[in-house]
Amino acid sequence: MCFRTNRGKILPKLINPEATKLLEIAEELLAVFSGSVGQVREKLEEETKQVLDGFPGNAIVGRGLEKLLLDRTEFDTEAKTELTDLREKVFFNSAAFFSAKKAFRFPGVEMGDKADLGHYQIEIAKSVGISIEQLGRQLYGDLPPFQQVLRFRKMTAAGLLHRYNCAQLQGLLLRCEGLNVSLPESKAAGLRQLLKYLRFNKLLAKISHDQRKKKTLMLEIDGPLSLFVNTQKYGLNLANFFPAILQQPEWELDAEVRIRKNHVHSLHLDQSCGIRSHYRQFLAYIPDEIQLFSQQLAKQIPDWELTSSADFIPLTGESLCFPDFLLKHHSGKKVSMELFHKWHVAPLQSRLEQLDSQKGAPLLIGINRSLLKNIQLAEQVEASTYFSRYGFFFREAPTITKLRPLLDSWLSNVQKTI
Amino acid sequence: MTLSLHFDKGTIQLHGMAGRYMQHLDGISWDERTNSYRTPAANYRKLVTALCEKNISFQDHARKFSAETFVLKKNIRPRSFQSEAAEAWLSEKHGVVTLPTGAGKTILAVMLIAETGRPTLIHVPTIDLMRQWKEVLSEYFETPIGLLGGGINDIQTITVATYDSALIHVTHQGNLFGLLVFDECHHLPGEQNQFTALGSIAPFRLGLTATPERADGKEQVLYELCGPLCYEVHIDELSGRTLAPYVVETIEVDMRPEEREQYEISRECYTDFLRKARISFQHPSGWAIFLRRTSESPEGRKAFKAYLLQKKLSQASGAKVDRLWELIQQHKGDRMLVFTQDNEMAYRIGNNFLLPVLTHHTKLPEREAFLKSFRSGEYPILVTSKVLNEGVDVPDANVGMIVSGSGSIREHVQRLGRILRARPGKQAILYELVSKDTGEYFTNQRRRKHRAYEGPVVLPDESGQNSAQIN
Repeated sequence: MCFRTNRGKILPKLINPEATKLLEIAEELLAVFSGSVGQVREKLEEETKQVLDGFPGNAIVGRGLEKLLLDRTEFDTEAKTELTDLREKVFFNSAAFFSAKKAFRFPGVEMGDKADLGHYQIEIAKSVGISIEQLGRQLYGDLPPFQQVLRFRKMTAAGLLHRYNCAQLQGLLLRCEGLNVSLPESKAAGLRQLLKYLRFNKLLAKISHDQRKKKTLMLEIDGPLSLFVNTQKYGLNLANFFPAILQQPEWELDAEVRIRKNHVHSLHLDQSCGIRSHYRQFLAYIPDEIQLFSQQLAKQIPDWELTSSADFIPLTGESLCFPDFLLKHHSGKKVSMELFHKWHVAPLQSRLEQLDSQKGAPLLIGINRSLLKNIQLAEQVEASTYFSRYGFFFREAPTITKLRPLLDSWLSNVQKTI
Repeated sequence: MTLSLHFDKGTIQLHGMAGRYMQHLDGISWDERTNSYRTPAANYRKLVTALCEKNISFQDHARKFSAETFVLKKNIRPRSFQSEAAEAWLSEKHGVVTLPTGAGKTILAVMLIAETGRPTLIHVPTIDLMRQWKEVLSEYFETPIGLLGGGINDIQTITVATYDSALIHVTHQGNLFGLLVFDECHHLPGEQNQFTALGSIAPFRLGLTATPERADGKEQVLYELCGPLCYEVHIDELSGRTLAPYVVETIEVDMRPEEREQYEISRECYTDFLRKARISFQHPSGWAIFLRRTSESPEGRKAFKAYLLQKKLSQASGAKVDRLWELIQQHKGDRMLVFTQDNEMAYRIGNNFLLPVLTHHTKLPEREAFLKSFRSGEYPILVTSKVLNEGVDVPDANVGMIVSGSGSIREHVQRLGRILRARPGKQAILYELVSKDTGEYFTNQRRRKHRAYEGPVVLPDESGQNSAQIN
């Protein structure tokens, strides 16, 4: 990793993804890797070395770029039966030589004379019907240097340089215990995606609003066990989560990183570092059954329109709910809807506790019936006052029959309140 | 609302927790991130014991295992020290047992698994050991033995897992087992590995090792996670009884003249750079500074290449290969293990002498075939880098040849352990080949600082031929 430290602060040495020299070297490396399919690894590494030997910059940068490209390369690592069979024969024959207590004599060679090694090799090669040179090449001919390139996932030169910078920071984050992220201008859709990556990486976050800048959200991110032990166990999860932060329009990140004999150094970054995320945006995806449900809603209750939710709802305990959908009435009234599937046992338990302990949230909740197999959860659902008023069950996807009375009831309650 | 316990990603969440219970329960914290009380999964035994003692009713949704009856296919007649170790561990059903390699740790574990009667997860450091444990367990238990690691995910009532795979799975499967066995448990306090123990609710824990000492001094973490050291026998106490008597012979090898010349030139280039750049390896960050500085200039890159070359020449000189060939011939009819520091040297020896080489590159079916053939005597020699350092049982091996190694005491003792399984009339011998007048001499001295080398040890004289006789 390339970085400097100054008075306990880490100053990452990022490369300029627009620098002509770097773009040229990246192009050359990409050309070598793209043309390597069918070649053996040894040849690929030789060609890469030639490119990197001509690179006037820091050798670590060159090796870093090579490593990133090797990670995108798939090699043929399958066992080669013909080589396994050859080894079996060779070792069976060589064992005969070493198993016997008595000397294995070659004509004209004294026992202990080093020349017997050459004779021994020739004898063994003869016994498997190939020359000693062929035997030398084939005996361990399936080791990594001789493995063939099957595939290479292409990318652009600029993409590679951005990926290098991202990897530099991910390398540092491997050695941290948690992240503090502040998001001044994030939209709910972006936040929702961020929290999906958070859950995917098995991390937890304490979310709060900045006391001074009310619009700014503060996220203290670490893992379940971080509550009890100072640990870098979640370093890998945090490093994997980092590219999701890069997708936010504005962000600031602070982390305490243990480097150089485990000494704590602070790392501060924000969107001005200019690194591009290599993660895909998946905001636009809507499952088929939900699309169907949306069409039915438009047909059967035309007063209401279903869209992806673009906002979040604050709940008790500083936590936020990011509903799945937003239902808009033609009068301008809006209510959100959150669906719980069979893998949502813990989130549903926690959500019911939150909703039952606070008054009125603009949220309808749908529960997949399979969750009721969990007896304790079924009891909690049965006892929930909130669910009895604003909840419904579904199998594959919500149905209009179940949703219509809830929408009517919610609308009349809102109008009464007004 | 009744108090209920739930397993969540290596922790236990407590739902319906009344504040008044807090005074009775240790290690529980309020988690603002999820609005729930939480405790590490390893606290399960203490938590449940406290709840029962205080008559606090609760529903246990965390635990996903129950008591089992394991029928043994054949009887075990334990050795006296195995009975003592079993008795010591069973009193609390947690703790570390230290026994030398070859003293029968696996059989002790079989006895304790059967006695404890809970679904068991056995942690091992390598795939070879995973296979070996499965073989032994299958000999004794009727129940099928599961495997987790090396691309296999087959969880059974008794399962053997590599530490790496167990770590990946503990966040969602840390509530399936009642007994955890940690083989080679000195690995457990590692920065990551310790979470396999911390993230599991298993109330019963057994640590097994020949060498609890750690270079980082984290033995205490091991005892916190596994329980205290409850029984210990040293290598020299069993030598000649349960372990074969052994000899360690250090052979200093003169490099070939052309290698010596190259060595001196490259060493000078590398040490000159250190002097000019004022880099000292006595400094805590000396190595990191060296790596950084050598990458910054053509001169630095040359010095780094020179560093690698002089190291390679001392560890893997042609003269060592010549001497190894002589030794191999001298021991015709014996069962030999050849150890190297890296794969490159292992394959160089394998290619040159046309011998089987076992490294992490060796595919699973072939590594099983190699080990089987070596155990049966079909292959008298096996060359390996580090994968056979630990635990793998090769009882008939009687000659070890260390062509190159690190300065690690543990690595050295473990390598010695490979050739110590007792057999009638067996005399084990371990050779260490050291390049004369090179930095390797000091590496060799560092790794010999173990009790296994105490006693009538004689360090090599100037001819390099003296041996250490320990019986």
